[in-house]
Amino acid sequence: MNERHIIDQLNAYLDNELSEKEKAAVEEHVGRCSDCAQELARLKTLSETLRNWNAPEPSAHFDQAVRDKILSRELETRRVAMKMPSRRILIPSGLLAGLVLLVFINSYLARGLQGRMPIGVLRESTDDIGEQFAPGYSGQDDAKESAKYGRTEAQKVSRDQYEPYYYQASLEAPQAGGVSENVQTYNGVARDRAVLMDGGRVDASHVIRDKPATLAFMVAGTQAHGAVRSSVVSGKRAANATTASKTIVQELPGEGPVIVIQPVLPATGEGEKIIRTAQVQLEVEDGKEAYKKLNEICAAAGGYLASSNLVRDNDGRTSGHITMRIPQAKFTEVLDTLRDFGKVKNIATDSADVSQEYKNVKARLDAAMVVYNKMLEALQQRKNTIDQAARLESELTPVLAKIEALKNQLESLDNQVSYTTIAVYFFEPRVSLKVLEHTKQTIRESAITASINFVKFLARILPATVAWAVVILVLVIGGLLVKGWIIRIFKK
Amino acid sequence: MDEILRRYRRPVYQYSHRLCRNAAEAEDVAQDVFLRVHLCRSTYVPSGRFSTWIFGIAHNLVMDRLRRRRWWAPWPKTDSDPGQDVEFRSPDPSPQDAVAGREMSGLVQACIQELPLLQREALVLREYHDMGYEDIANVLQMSLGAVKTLIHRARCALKEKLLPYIEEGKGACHE
Repeated sequence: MNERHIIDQLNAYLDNELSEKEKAAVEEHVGRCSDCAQELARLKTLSETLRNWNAPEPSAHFDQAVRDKILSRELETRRVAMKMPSRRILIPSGLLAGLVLLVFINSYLARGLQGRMPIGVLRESTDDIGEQFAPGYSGQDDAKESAKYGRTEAQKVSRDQYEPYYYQASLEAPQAGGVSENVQTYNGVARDRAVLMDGGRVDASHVIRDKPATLAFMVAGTQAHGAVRSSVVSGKRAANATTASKTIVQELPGEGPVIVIQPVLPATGEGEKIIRTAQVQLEVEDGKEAYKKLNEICAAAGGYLASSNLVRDNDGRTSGHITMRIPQAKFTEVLDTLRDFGKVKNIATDSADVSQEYKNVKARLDAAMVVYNKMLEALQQRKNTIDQAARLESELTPVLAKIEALKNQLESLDNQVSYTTIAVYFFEPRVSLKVLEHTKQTIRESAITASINFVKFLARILPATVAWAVVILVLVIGGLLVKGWIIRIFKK
Repeated sequence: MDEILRRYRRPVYQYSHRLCRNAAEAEDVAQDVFLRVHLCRSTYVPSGRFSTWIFGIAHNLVMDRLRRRRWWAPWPKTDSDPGQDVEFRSPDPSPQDAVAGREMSGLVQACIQELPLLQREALVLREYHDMGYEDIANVLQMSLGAVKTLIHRARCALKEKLLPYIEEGKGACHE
C-alpha cells in the first residue's frame, strides 16, 4: 500500500460515517485501487463474521426483577427517611431534652443540698400526713378520749417510711368532763388559744421540721381545766395553729414555713415541782465547731455537761450529742440560743410534775423528824434506865437512816427540778458546703493526677509508637515499590 | 418504565453480557441500569438521545463492576492504549479451543473478549448496537477521534486473529 491508499477512511466508510462527498471519493478510489478494495472486502467479511456472535436474551423474569428492585429501593429510602428525622425536628427535640435534663439535675442537686429526699416525695408525704393525721388528732376526738378515760395515753406520730421521726407524749387529764364542754364550744385553732389564754400551760410540745415540708405536732394541756388538747398542724394550717399557741413562725426564703414553738414554761405555783426535759436535733455545718459552741452555751448558762460524745464517720461528717443540765431559769433562754445555732430538725420538750411526790417525801421526812426528835428527847431524859436508853438508841438508828434517805430523795428531786435536762443531737448534712468543697478538691486532685499519669503514659509509649510507625511506614513504602516494580515488569 | 423496559431490556442486557461475560452478572448489571434510570428520572435532561444516556449508565455500571473485580484478581494485565482500563483474563475458551470446536460464535466471542475493554466496548456498540461514532463518544465520554482509533485498532486486531481461520474455513468448505 502506498501513501495514496485510504485505509484509515475505510472503517468510516463501512460504518457510514462519511459525508456524501467523502463517500463518493472513497468509492472512486476503491474502484481504482485493488489493495483498498481488498481491504474493504476484508472489513466487510469481518463485520459479517462478527454478527455470528449472538448474545442470549434476558430471562423471562427480568422485568419483574427490575420492578422488585425498584420497589425494594423505594421502601428502603422511605424507611431511612423515617428513621432519620430532619434537623428541624431533631435539633429542637435535643435542645428541649437537654433543657429538661438540666432542670431536673439542678432541681435534684438543690434538693439534695437542702434535704435528704426529693421534693416530690416529701410534698406527697406532707399531703398524706395532713389528710391522715389531722382528723385523728382533732380536738373532738381527743376530748372524747379524755372524757372516756380521763387520761390520754402515749400517742405516737410517725410520718411515713421516708421520715423516721416520731413523737410520744403522756399527759394526764384528771377532769375530763370540762374538756368536752370546751371542745364543743371552741373549734379548730381557737380552742388552743382559749386553753392557753385561760392560764393553761403546755405540758409537752413537739415540732418536727423538715424541708421543704413542715409538720408540726403540738400537744397542749392545762391543769386548770383538766383538759387535753391536741392539734396536728401541717402544711398551710401550721401558721394559724401555731401562732395561736404562742409559737413563732418564721418564713425562710425558699424553704417553706418553718415552725418553731416557743416552749411555755409551766405556770408553776408556790411549791410546784416540775422536771423539764428537752430534745433537740440540729443540722450544723461544722460538727466540731458545734460541739465547742454547745459547751460554751452550757457553761454560759451556768449548767454542766451530763454526757457528750463526738463521732466522725467514714464520709468525713462529724456528729454527736451533748446532754446538758441547765438551771431551770435558763431553760427557755438556752432553747432559744439552740434554735438560732443551727437548722432545727426536731425539737421536743417534756415535763413531769413531781409536786405530789415531793410533798409526800417532805411529809414523810417531817414525820420522821418528829419521831426522831421525840425519841431523841426521850433519850436525853435522865429517867431512863440503861436498858431503855439502849433500846431507844437502837430504834433511833433506822429512823435516822430513813431521814437521811428521804433527805437524799428530796435533794435529788430538787436537783432534777432546779436543773433541766437538754439533750442536743447534732450532725452535718449529707451534702454540705464542706463536703462539696472536699469533693471538688478531690476531683481536682484526681484530674491533675490523671493528667500527669496520662502524660507519663504518652511519654512512655512515645518511643515505641514512633518506632512502630517508622517500621510500618518503611514496610508500606517497600510494598508500594515492589508493587510498582512488578507492574513495570509486567508492562515490559 | 414499562415502555423503557420493553424497548431497552434486550439491548442493555446484551451489551452487559458481551462485556461482563457472565449471564448472572450481566442480568444484575442490566437490572441496576433500569433501577438507576428510575431513580434518575427526575434529573434527566433530554440533551441527547435517550439510548446514549441509558448506554452511558450501563457503561458506568459495567466499569464499576469490573473495577470491583480487581480486588480478587491475582495479577492485572495492563492495556497498551492510554487511559484504558485494566483487562482481565477470560474464563471462556481461548481462540484455539474455540477453533477446535468449530464454533464460529464461540470463536468470535473469544477473539472479542481478548480485546482491551474500551476497544471491546466501542466495537460492541458499533457492531451490535449500530451506534454512530458520536454516540459512542458520548457513551464512553471520549473524543470522536479516540473512538475512531479504538474501532480501527479493534478491527485490526480481529482481522489478524479471525480472518486466517475464516479463510481456512472457506478453503475447507471449497475442498
